[in-house]
Amino acid sequence: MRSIVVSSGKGGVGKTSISLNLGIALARLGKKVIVVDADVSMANIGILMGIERTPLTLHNALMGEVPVDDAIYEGPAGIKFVPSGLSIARASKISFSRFEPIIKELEEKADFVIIDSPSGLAIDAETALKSAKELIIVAIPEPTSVADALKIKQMAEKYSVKTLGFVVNRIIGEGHEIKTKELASLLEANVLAEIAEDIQVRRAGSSQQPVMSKYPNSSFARAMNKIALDLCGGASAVAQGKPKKGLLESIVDKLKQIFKR
Amino acid sequence: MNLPAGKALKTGLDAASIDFSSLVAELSNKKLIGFACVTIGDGSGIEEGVLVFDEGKTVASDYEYLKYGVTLFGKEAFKRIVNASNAKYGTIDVYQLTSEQLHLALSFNEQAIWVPSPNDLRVDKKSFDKSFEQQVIDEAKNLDKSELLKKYKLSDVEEKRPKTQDERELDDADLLNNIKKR
Repeated sequence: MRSIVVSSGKGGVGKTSISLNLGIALARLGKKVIVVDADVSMANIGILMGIERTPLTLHNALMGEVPVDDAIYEGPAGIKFVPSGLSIARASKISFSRFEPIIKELEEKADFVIIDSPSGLAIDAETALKSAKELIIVAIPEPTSVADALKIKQMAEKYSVKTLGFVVNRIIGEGHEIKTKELASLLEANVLAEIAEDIQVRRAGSSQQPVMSKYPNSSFARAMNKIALDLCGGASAVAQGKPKKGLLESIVDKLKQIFKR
Repeated sequence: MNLPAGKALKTGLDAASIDFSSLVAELSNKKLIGFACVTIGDGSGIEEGVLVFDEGKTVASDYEYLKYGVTLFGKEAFKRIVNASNAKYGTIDVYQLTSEQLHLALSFNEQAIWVPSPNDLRVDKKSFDKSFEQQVIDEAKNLDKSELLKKYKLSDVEEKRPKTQDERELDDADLLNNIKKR
């Protein structure tokens, strides 16, 4: 139903970890999730899960050799995932014309299709971006990352992909870092989560287990749960209580109270 | 703050005539599970502060400047709630929540969670101070996008939208045509 591309422009900011673990967080909320590793030249999602045998991959589907159904695998917490192949020789031969129809097909099979975009803005990243309906930008609080994130957002606007917001990842908390408020102003986007540099993310990566499984109480995992809840409608969707009045309704009520005296 | 409506205990209290300190003490003594909401119109826009109680103890607070889309949390919010309680045109409402509603609300408003010391909660009755709003205006200026682009030397990135694959191919085709013409 929803396709969300996780993109950054800059590499090494945590796109793959966020894509995979956000997928798991959504699955734990009862959603059907398919995570697609769109990084055809640097496929990592299978490695992060410790899943070695994926004989058919997105590569095969893109080459038209198999239907994408044959490249869907079961992952942790009930997620499904479409890995990319690890063969560089094959990656160089891939045509991306089939990518968008593949994503459309996957949208029919899941509540959320999470697309882990490659870095940069070459044809693979551009195709991943324009194939999705929505975008989550991942940035780290550094000017180079912000520059790349700005480019991604501009490209998303060009293709009418809705920017849901951004995740600031790997915050160290030093004075030289760009503040989250500044990032929100620069990117003109909502903050979905602020995540401190978390050694547990690297530990989970080294043990080839998702952070959500290995360290469910880590700040990273909590941030994923928060984003997942937001994507599912936030607190009001989950709470039994009646949501608070809408902003406008609330203001009108308050004005009435103020001026009636 | 994203809160359930809850059960209204007091609505439309006049901020100017209420001793806020006494109200907080009363809610604390009654071991309120819920929140007090102060809304004022003394600044250049509507401002709203929320103080959340769990069995009478303050556990969260936020303060919103609706005109500027700015929300402050914790101690900074509390200072402004106290200031708002000194406003000439303001109302205070008090709502009760169930324990489940409160804890769910806190889990969705983590930024607002604040467990103050008794000193933090000391309230001195003063006149309404507009400098709090000025601080928000000043900060908003510091967050102006064009200023930030200059600060981080990113103006160039903003001005030059990256070209799409189709546009790059068109550029290449134009370049080839020009070369052929020569």
